[in-house]
Amino acid sequence: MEIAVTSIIAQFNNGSIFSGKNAAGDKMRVRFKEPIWPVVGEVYDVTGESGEFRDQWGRKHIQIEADYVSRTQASGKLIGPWLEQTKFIGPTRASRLIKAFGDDLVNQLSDPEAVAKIGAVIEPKRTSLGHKIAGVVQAQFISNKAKEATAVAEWKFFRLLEQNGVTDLKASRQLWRLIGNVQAEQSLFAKPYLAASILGWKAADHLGQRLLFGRGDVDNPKAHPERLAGACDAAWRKLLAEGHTAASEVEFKQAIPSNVNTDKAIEEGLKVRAVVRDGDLLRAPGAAWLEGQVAKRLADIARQSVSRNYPDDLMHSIGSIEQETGLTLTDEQRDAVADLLRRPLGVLQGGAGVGKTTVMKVLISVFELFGGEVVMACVAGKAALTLSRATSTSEAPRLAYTMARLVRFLEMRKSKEDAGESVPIDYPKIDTKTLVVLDEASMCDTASLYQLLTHIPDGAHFLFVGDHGQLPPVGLGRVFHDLIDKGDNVANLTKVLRQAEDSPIPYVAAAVREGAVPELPEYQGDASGAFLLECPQEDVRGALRRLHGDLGGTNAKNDLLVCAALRETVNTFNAEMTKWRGDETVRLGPLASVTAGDPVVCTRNRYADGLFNGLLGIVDGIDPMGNVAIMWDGESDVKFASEDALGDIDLAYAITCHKAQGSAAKKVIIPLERTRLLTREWLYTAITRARETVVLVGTKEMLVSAVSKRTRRVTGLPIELTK
Amino acid sequence: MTHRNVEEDILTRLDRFVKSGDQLPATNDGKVNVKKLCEALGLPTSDTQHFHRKDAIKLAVNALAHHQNLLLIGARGELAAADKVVRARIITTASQAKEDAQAATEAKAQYSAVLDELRAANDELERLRLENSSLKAQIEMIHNGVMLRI
Repeated sequence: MEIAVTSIIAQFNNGSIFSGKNAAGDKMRVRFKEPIWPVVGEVYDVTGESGEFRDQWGRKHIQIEADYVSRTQASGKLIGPWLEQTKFIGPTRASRLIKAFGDDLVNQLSDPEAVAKIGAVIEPKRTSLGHKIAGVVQAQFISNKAKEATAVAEWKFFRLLEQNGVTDLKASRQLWRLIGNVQAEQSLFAKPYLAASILGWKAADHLGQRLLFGRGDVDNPKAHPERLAGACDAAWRKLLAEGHTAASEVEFKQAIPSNVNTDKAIEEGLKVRAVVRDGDLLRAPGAAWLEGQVAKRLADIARQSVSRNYPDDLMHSIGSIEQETGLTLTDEQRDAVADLLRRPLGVLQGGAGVGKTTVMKVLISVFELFGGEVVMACVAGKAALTLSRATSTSEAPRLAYTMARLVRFLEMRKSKEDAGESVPIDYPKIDTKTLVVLDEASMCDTASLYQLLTHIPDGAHFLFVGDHGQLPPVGLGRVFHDLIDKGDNVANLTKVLRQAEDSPIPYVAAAVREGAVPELPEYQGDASGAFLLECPQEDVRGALRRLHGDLGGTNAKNDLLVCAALRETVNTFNAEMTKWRGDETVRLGPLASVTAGDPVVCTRNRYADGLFNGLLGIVDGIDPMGNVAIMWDGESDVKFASEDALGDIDLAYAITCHKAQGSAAKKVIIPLERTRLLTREWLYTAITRARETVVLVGTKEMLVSAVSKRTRRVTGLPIELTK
Repeated sequence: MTHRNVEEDILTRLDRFVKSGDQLPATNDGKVNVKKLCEALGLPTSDTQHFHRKDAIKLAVNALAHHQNLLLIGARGELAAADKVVRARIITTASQAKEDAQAATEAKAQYSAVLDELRAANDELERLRLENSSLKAQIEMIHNGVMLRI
């Protein structure tokens, strides 16, 4: 049945409820559990079961539980809702038009000869006014036709994909968007394996084979060159998802789908540049381009002359800053400051507890002393907050941006400058006087760095600060790690400065980073330090719960975090922690329900709400209206989470190590789970989240296994850095 | 004394206003100057409220405002540049149709031509929009390491 949308009752990320009218004018509601965003005036072909629905006032409505909807062109009386929602007609005049022209209304609106007739219906007694309005409505109608035709073609395309086994509407939308024209069906027949970069291989191959077969001119679809190249795309899809940007031939063959001839696939892939060969490695072409651009820009920065005019006795200036700030550097730290100040491109590497932040503070102050300006950035919002606080004084507050925010501001600045508009004073600026400091640089992926580097002009300096013992970024590549491996422009801090009696954690972390299994005392009870609670693998989850209680976990103010490898462990633990509740809870969208005292984590950057991905907090309370108040880390007052933000907030009794990067907690529990994710880098990252207490839970064998296993990521950047 | 039908009265005066070929008075920031319009229609200032409250009047004035590239009553912000361009053609034709009553056939033909141009312009705009969206999507894919062969 064709239904014209008259109003939107509810809209969700994964469905909507709208009310509408059919051609006979009958009113009904439609509920569809797929991501569509209907607009008033649009017409949909709806298939589903019709039933009755009573609203909160007891009124009956016909409601269709739609199995299938498809956009279609408005015809006949279904044009009514569109007419009503234009700004010039309104319901009364729309109804006159429908009554006067009925099913022929759409034709009349398209016909310039009909303008006088339409005007006479709109305003029977006021012909001039009516004529004017009719002209405007016809123009609106024609403007809308083009958009409507696109929408109908889009839905026809979705139907083609669905008929060929693709039921993922999000992927279908992406494919439509990529093809970018109303002849998308024909484009897909010409390139039947286009979807191999977007869909899983099974779905992409099924679609590709059916399209090849449907062409009628293909003898052997299984051996078709498009399929072979598509198999290479599928292999890259798998490898890129793990962060690799390159692979050895052996590894690449392992990633190619098993029902494809690997040698023929690589041969075809090289021919059409679905694969790029560079020495012993095969590289993903998109990633190869990105890495090439990043390497070139970094080389350009490194080749520049130093922008500040430092005296020969730079150490004296550094000493003055030490006195002024009250910070005392070690010789190693002082040498690092002096070295990095003289490099337009610098890399400061150091593990936990070596004083990287202290070095940054002094270096930044010296750079500013000689007339420079510093812009600081981090990948994660939480890390940016920490950096801001660590480098600020009451006399000199400093603001660190997230990379995403910094890039956005720089784009807005450029846009205003290009338009000759004035730029707000608080927009960050990067010029020949600037040093850009990127902290927690091990978290920075290739694409994000590329974005930032496009805004770094000639003459600006760049400093990476990080710890290459940490996990590589969530996104592509491992830029910081590759720069450390190359060794150019690197200042290395090795001396752990915290006394072992103050905290053994940095020493334990350093041992793990060097590949040594630390000797950990057996856990005996809540105390500062690093411990092992030995228990069989199958008892880890149970031990986790007991330990959590022992360390004061039921009171979130005790600042305790479980840092797990497996998503399943995180979800199960969070769910278990909420079982004991009797208090009122509020549902935070699809991810969690919370009550007062629950620790939570924000799972997405939400600048408008002042929230960042990975930001931790505690639910302070829930008011009688169900609004959730949260005390976020580093804030002095509680904030009420907006309704929209609630969907991006999750419980944080346990979180994954990747989510925990950039954060810290007083006490951290680390379950040693049997998973390939448990590597030396993973363990090191998890241990370094703890400020006072860390307890590993599991077997000594798992600890040994974790330390011996390396997180491996293959990239093409090292090749580009040597070019 | 006959009770005044405000809506009928104002719409009739608007019709005469349109017939006379006058343009809606505008404020400096491109909005309809409702107060001056009342004066032009010979209405008391107290009638300005009806231009905001009575839908039939508001919608009619909005159609005229749209014609003149003015902001609609109750609207904020500026018209998109593309909208201004395509609408400007309609205004010219409508004015011509009014000024030269004896060339009604010519005016009709011009109106048809303009609608055809509008149709073609919108088709082209839509094509460019899709192409732009496709290029942006392809750039996003490159930022994820994937170079599509479209």
